[in-house]
Amino acid sequence: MKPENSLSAPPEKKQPFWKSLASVNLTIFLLIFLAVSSIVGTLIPQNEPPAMYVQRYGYGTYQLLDSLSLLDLYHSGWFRLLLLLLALNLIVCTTDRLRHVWDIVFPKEKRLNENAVLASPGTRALKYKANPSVVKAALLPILSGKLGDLNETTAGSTTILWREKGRLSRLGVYVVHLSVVIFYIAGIASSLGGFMTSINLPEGAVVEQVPLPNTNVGYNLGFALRVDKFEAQFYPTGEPRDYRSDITIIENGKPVLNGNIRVNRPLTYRGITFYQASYGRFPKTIELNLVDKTSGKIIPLSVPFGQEAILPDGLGTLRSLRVEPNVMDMGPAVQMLLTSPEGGQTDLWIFKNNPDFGRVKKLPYRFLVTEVREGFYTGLQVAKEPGILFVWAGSILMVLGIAVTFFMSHRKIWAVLEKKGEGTTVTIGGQTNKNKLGLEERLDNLYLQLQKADIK
Amino acid sequence: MLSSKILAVVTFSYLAAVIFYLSALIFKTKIGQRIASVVTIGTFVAHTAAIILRWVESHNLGIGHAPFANFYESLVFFAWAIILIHFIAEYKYKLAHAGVFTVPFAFLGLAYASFSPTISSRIEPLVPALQSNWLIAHVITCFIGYGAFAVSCGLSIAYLFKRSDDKKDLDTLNYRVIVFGFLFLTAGIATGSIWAHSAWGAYWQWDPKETWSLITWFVYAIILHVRLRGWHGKKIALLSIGGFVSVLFTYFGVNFLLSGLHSYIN
Repeated sequence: MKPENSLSAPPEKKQPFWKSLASVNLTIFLLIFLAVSSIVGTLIPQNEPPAMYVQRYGYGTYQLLDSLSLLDLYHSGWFRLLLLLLALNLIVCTTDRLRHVWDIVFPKEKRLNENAVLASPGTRALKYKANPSVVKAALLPILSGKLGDLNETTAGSTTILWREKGRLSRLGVYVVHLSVVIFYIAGIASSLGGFMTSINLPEGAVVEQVPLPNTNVGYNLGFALRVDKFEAQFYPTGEPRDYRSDITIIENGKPVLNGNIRVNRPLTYRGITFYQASYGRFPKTIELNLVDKTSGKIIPLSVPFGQEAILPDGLGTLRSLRVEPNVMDMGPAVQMLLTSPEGGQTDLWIFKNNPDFGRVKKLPYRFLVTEVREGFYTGLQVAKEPGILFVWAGSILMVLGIAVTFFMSHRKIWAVLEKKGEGTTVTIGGQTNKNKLGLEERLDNLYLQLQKADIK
Repeated sequence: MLSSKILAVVTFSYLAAVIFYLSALIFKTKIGQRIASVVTIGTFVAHTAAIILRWVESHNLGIGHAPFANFYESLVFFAWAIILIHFIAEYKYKLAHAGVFTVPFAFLGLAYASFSPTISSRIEPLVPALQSNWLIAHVITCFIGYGAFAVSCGLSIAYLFKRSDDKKDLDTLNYRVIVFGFLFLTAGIATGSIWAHSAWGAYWQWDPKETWSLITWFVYAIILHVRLRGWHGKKIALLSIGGFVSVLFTYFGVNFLLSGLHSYIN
């Protein structure tokens, strides 16, 4: 006969393979294996260039580590297999046990296993001189005040007043297991439908396509993003205060949105999110002075970085190649390529502080750098992350599930009223699936209340 | 800063409490026990006041933020969480001598924060990466979790030392503290993950800090599952001490030995 209201887990009767997949031992084994593997992954640097490993461990060890997939451990086949096995273990364990638990959580009718209660009603007994019906009438308000609506079961001359609570809490653990599966779904959704890449954009740049990592293809955003301005703010102490990119979203050639991207305040447009990740400076224009060799007359000239500027009097063009903050301890210098009208090319370094350089025989003037104007570029992380909703759902379910599993219990508390001679014996007792100390405390409390009660 | 001066005094006051707890245990005096409790409560009040004061001080400096922004502040809050959970052990479960094994962790954390030459107690402005409402939720949940694991480690040591046969209540309490820590560690990892997504675009990158928090989670998940297999007492106590080693590595080891996204902590 099936114990209808047993609070302990029913015995399992399953074929061995199914049973071993559902077993807690497998769970423990997998958790240990996952923990140890994860530790290994933090001790061996991951996803570094091969040269770094060869230098650090030697070629033979590098090959061994690589063949065991220990250099990209968390994305390796065997680590994924472990995760898959854990998922399988969870799902099988859950479906295997849930059927039995379901009958306890959602019984067809409220029932009490009277025989079990009468066999061990508890140790807290009170004796009254009055008969059971008088005692019951007197105790009922106290008991229901403490426990809520009571059920009543009679067995012969004995009356049991009882209350059952927290049946649903038995499902908590399965909610936790479900939440783990939801995290897996998040991971799958991220790897199938998501991407993340980073781009550096100078002020003024427009981007319509971003590179996808580990591929040669670009991802078409479906709109354009223009960086209007980047600003870095600092506290007086020198620590960074704010990094901000002001941007405009352009669709079909028309600006549709002005916004900004800051750290912790990303901007999402049409499912694509832009994060402020980094920034830097780059040379924008090089300001030169052309000093006439005889008269000393000065003609200013701006050369956009990486581009050409036309020299006055049709004497050719000047292209900027490289900017160095300090060359040969003589301060900032710019490498330029001079192209004469005939097509001859001369490579020359022009300094900011040293007029001895920047001279070319054929030309009537010498060059001097007055300023290298810098602009900012902003480093943006571009991501499409379909998994995050699952992460939210999984997180909420897991935290709630753990709270319910460990801090709520399925309890029954009863008072057994027995006629003893002319008087009545009342025994307080209970049953719980966990936190026995908590139940004892509750029963002590109830017992005290009943002792205080004045019954004639 | 006044707050850090108060906290230096608080550090020694916890040490005094430990000495009272210890003498009450050795000489079996009720009065020693009372004094130890009163000293701990008084110190905790001062500790709490110092944390609030530090918040106020940061506002007076014009860089107002919750005092969870650097290593010093995290240690101060860690110690605070340990004492908070210690009270549950002492009062709810009436474990008179728990303080011998739990309060020292708070003392050590604070002593490290206050007197290590490498830790600055200066109130620093919040760098952009930390300017988020998730900071408060993430730090509170993580450190309540860590605090519970520290208390569980203390109770486990107590369990291993205790000679009496009646250690069932201590075992039960230890387990409940672990469960409490596990709940908060889970919430801490979850808030961290969601925060990482809104700051960097990825909710999980196998960064060393993330990975070690997960390893710690695995260790305590293992404890909860071996408990289902009937393990209790000494075995759970030993595992809990091991779990706390993992907590310490997640908290300190990763910062000092492994590099990663959490490096702004130092």
